[in-house]
Amino acid sequence: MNEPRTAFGRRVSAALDWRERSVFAALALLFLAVSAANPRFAALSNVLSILGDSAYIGIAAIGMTLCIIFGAFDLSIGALLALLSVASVTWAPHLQPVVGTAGFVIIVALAGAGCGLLNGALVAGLRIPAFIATLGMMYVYRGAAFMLSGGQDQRLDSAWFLSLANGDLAGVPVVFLVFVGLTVLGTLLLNRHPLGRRIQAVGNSPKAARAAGISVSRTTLAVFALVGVFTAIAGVLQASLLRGAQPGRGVEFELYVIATVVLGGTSLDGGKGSVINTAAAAVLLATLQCSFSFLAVNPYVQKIIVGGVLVAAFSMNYLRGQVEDWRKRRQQQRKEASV
Amino acid sequence: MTRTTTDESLLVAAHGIRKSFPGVLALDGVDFAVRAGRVHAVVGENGAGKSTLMKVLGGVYQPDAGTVRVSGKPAQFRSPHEAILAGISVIYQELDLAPHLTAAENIHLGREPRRYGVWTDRASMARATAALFEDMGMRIPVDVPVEQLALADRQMVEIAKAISRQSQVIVMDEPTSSLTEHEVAVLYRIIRRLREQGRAIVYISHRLKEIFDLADEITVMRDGRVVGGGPLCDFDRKAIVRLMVGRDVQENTRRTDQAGTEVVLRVQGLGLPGVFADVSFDLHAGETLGVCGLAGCGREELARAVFGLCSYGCGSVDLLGQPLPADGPQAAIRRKLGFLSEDRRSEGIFAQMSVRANATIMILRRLAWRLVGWLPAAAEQAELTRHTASMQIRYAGPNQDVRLLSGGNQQKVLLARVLATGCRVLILCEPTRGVDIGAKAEIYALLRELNRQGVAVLLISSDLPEVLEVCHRTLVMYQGRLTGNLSRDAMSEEGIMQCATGLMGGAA
Amino acid sequence: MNEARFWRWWDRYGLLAILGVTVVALAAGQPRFRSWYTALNLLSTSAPVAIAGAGMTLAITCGVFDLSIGALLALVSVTIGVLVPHLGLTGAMVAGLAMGGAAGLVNGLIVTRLKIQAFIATLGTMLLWRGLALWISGGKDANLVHVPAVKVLAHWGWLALLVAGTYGLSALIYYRLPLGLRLRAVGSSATSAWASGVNVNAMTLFVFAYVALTASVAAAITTSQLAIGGCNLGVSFELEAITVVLLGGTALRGGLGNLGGTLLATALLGVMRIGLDLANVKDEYQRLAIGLLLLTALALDGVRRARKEAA
Repeated sequence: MNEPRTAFGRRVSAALDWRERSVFAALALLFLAVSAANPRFAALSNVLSILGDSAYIGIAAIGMTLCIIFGAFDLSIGALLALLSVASVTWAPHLQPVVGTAGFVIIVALAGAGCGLLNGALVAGLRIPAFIATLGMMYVYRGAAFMLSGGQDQRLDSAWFLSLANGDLAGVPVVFLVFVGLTVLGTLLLNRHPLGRRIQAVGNSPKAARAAGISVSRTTLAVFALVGVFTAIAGVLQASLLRGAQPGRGVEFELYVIATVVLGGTSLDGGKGSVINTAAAAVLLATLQCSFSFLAVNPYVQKIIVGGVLVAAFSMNYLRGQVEDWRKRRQQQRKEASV
Repeated sequence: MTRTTTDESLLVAAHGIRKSFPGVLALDGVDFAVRAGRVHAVVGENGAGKSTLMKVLGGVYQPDAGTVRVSGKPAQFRSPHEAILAGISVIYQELDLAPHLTAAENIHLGREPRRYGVWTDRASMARATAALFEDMGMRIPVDVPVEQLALADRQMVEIAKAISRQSQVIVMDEPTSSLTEHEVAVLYRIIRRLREQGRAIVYISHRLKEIFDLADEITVMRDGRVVGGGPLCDFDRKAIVRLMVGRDVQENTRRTDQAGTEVVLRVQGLGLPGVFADVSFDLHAGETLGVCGLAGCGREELARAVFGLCSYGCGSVDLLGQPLPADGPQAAIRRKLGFLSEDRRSEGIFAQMSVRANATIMILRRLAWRLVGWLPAAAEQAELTRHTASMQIRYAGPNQDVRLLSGGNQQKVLLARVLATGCRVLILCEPTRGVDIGAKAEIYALLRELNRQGVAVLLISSDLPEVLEVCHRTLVMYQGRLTGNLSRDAMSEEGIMQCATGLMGGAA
Repeated sequence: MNEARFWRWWDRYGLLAILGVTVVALAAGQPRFRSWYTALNLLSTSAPVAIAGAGMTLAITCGVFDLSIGALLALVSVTIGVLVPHLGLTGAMVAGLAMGGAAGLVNGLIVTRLKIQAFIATLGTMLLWRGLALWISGGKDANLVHVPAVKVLAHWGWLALLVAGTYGLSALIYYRLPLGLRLRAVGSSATSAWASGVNVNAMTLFVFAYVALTASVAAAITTSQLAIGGCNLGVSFELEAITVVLLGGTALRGGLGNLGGTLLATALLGVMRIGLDLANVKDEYQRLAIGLLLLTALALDGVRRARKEAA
């Protein structure tokens, strides 16, 4: 294969490498298959609806991508989603008149960052493995959500609030545009910002990162804070969509988010990943779930399928390794045959 | 090699062993024989292949070619366990004990004594272990988790494990590197006992005094081959050292330039209990100072302590005239001290990141826009191109994963990374390990150029020809102390090795 | 009192002391607490966690975290509910246990064959088991009230027997069988165990099956107590099990298990819950308390490890 001449050409060619973008192929395949079974699936209104649906898990998955590349897992985001959406609904009437809609969203995002910092402090300061620290915090956030809401579901019908998630621009759901915007932001952060580089470095090798002068604990705090921010935004948008918040919402949310990241091809061992692929995987998941309704799949079977897809996605590492080994052996055999 | 005694006493016979790893041929047709009732010493400098050979015998590695016969029968070990079943126990330097288990449990793991064939017989385990320790003349508690035992005691537990397994061949890799004199005496006694029992001991060490105290036979390895060996009485110390380092004498291009006089790094009385003690030296601007020594001498830890990756117990470090507090790598880097670890793979490169990202990881703050933190691609590329040209780094494209590069090019990327910070003092640990000859020469040229610019280099290296070619002076360490401070004229491979094996201890 | 001695005392008696203080405080403050009923209540509410905790103790000792046992609880309960009309109560329970054991083996195979970390693999199977439970049951709890003797396991005699039996078996394995030694070795240093000839994969499979079986026994008990085949059971069950194991002194990184500690921690958790129930604290806040308890246990474990490294 000829190497493109210009730097830009190289970048484009790298971006389109089919091996790295297989999730797009899977998405296309799924879409075509379901549309073949039920042509109404391909209707524009349906496609737009899928895109809109993908935004909530997708936005949270951006943060989780950074976390997994860093080498950690945050199992608390489901409960955090509930807590932050409750908080946003509780504070909205008081905050919005004072700081405006934008200010309100920023404050909720900061609250998410604060919770993330708490998670990060447990991991960096007390050296508790991330998965179990966040497992414990999951229940703390859930309880806090119930406390803050008094155990009641909350409803908010203010027009400005509903406009966050329920608007559209030339037919395209605003939430999806926000999702795309945040995806771009996330990609740029990962690839073109010092923090993103540090996240990748620690995910590759914490020892090498330390020897290169990177503060692993500060990067840890930053990563978990980012996860909190993205979760907060997803929470506000979801509360806007559903016209309120429920403290019990978001159970198993973290599983779907992690599934999205893994489906996008990000390695569970950390060090390498792509926010764009995660975004595509979010659309893939939303397409899958929409296709369940179109094909009238039993809702419980849906869970089984997603769980199965998750396990299959988890084993992609292993499968990829097997394919690599098989290819190497074939190459070796060919070499020996030609000698 | 002559077959002296009858083949009955030949417990293990390895013939033509070849083992290579990506980029390096570790063993190149090695013959090795172990006889019953003998202590067989194996010596060689770092990288000679001793540990690789032992790992082949111990079943950790499978040889690419060659045969191993145990008591005359061909054997192929696919795992350490198979080697153990064949009667070979290897005690590695890092020790392989389960920390939470007691001495008795570690020793009997996998062959637990049972009552009625089902229940673990703890009483019998404890009794057997206690008897074993008493026999060895050691007083080690049998039912304390081994992580609570002193390092020396843990080593004894490993030896007891081998004895308890009735292993006929016991390989010890640098067994005395962490032992006090008293414990070494105990070890001697145990080894002599084992020999009387008809077992074979393979003793890897560079401490010639111990070898002459204990061994009956010796094998000298160099560059993956056996270069000499036989009954120990045929050798004297100097002969052994000569075999260890002797190469076809090449006209080494020595350093002819002078180093500066300004002291840029001053280490005084640096000590880390149990690792090194009372190390003092000066490093001058534009100088390359080598630090040599064999396993366990403490020089790697010394380098890390100076940089701040590990703490030290006493002493001080002055950098560019100011005291350098032991605050960790970030402080050192800010003060223009650079460091490259000897373990390129796990403490050097970020394997799945691009060449460009690897090269610029330490200077992001300088390259990024102040307010937003945006990293302009052009600035990064310019930085990389600058180093690529001056160091002739070869790669397919700046976005290529750095793990796909050859060892030499990876090392150059790491050098580019650390040089980009503008450091004035550079600590390099084994910079040419696993690097091809061409890249080595380029790296040496780079070091000379750095010296010319006034940068000082502390070079931790096991490659003696390299040290002779590149360094103005050389320090040598043995058992945690400086045994040699050799000026250019006094530097020779034999001289360095003599200091490294404890034959000579003092400044030249 | 110097620090080292305090920590040694804490390791041996700390949990017991806290339990004692809590019991005394509750008995003093809550008159309803002082009755035989409380002890029975403690037994019946704690038995499932205690039994699963024993299995989880062996699992964590071996270095394995199984996050799917909560979902497994629902799956086994649903299985029992579905099979009772066909196999009778006893048959259904046995079948449920078999199903649980098989699920554990599936977990073990995913981890050993596909080389996925335990907690990630069980995150995936958690979803699978939940989905299966909901699918088999059609989203509805199976009503078993009419089944004769369905509440058999709710009787304190059976509960005590099952708890004692599980801990007896677990202690037997841990202390008296070579298997226990090997589990500890794998958790302590898998490479060392492998070098000594221990079949690490077999140990992993065993421990996954064992923890799943204990969870299945817990499921049988819960099914019997509630007289339903519950498809939504077991929420936060894995959290409670892991919390009591870590609180009881089992090392997070493996190699050291404390069965007695797990039992004590379960009692402590149970007493705490009774106290919270008496104070009319809602479920979600109780879970918050358990979450904090887990974090405390983790912090203590971290401190213990830091002390060891400094020594």
